[in-house]
Amino acid sequence: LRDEGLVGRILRGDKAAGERLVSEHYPRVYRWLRHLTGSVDTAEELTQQTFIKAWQCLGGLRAEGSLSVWLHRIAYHQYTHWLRDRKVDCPLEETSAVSPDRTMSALDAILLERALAQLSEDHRQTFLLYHVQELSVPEVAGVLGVPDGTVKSRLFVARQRLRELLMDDGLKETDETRENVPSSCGAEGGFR
Amino acid sequence: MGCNRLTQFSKTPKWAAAWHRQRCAECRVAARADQMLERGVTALRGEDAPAAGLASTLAALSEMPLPGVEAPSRAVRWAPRLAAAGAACAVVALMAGYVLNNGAPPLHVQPLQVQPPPDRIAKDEGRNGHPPSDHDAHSVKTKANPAPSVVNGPKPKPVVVASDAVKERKTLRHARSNNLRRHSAKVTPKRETAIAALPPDVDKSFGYREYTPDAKTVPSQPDGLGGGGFGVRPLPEQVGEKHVTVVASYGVDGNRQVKLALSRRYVIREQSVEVQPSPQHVYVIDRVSVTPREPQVASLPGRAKESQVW
Repeated sequence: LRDEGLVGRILRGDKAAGERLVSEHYPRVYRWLRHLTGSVDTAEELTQQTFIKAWQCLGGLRAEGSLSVWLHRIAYHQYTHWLRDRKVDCPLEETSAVSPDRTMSALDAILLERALAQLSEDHRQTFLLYHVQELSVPEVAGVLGVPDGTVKSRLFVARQRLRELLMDDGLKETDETRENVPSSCGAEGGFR
Repeated sequence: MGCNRLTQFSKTPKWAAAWHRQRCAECRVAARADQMLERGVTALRGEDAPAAGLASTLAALSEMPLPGVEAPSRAVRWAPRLAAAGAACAVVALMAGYVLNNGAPPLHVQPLQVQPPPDRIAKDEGRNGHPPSDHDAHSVKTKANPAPSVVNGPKPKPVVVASDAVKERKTLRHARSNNLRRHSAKVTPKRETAIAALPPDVDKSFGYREYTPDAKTVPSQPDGLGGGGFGVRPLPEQVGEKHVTVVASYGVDGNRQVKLALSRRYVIREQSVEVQPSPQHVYVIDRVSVTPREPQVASLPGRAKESQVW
């Protein structure tokens, strides 16, 4: 409802509402595109194209969909177009350079992104949308254009694969650095 | 990953999972991996967007015009209504057409079915000996009609003659497709009788028949042989004696199809006949000799036999 009101104000000519919409949704869209592309510059470019496209098509936005899902869908289309044109597939080095702080969670993030890079495109997109972007299963299905059952299946496979990768590779590295790095995230129990 | 509990996400109570991990080394490693995964996801969620990218995006959007509500065009709004109205009109037109034209006579007049006389000889029949084609078989025969004049009034309609031989040929053609054997039982004795009634090498006079130059065919000759026969269109250059070979008829005996070839000689002479109110030239077939020749036996596919029919 808040998004609908925001869109209504934009369509009535409120420019401040437009800036507020972009400021609210920009970080999430950028974050997802950066995790997908692995490049800061590419993520910024695609995020800008996403919002320009959304701005042009805002008049045709229907009320039944969430604005966040709609933006993610546009971003996904931009990403697929970029992927088709560029065929760039090496996000690991740039990802490592993004997080300069060597905290415990940052290290886990690097390891997680390294493991994510080894997943298939479908499993990576689904995992990021559900766990990082915090969309629900129907919303993920709406963004990717697949059934709910496919989303659940992809999530299960992605978790299993990430667990295997982290068990094989990640634990060795963390064992070596755990004594030197302060923990900032006291997670308990298994990953759900 | 041999432990079954690794695939059971949050299905077991925490105390049971903890107790299981105390005894299962694989689950202990997996639990550490899960913790890493959760911490990594939390770190990814908290990643900030660069302010420069947000500023550049806002700057780009500020240069663009404000989005407006896209009103559908008039054609798009009226398209469903126009389609519905068109469909309704089409249905009404179809129903009206059906009601008005149901039971009405057809618009075109079916032409009178015309059948040629049986004893006609095609123009080229004397050269190749083939029977007349279907096209020739449906030609129109007109009897001698005087030229229209003021005295005689309007020209009378041509008289159409359907011979028994043509009917028989059609019946035979249908019978071949339907039941060849059954038809042969009815036809063959009749033909045998007709052949037996014709003594070979003996001239048989059929009298004479009169034709005008307009006549395309001549009536059937009473030789009982049915199809084939004379198809004379008497022209001045044809006056005289002529010898032709005619495939007179077809017969079916058992599983064999038989062609009977006959050699015919006929004489056409021109004479003047007094026809009131004015004399008119007619052509006369004077004498005709019929000589049976060797019948040609054509076996039906797959049922060949060597014996002759007649």
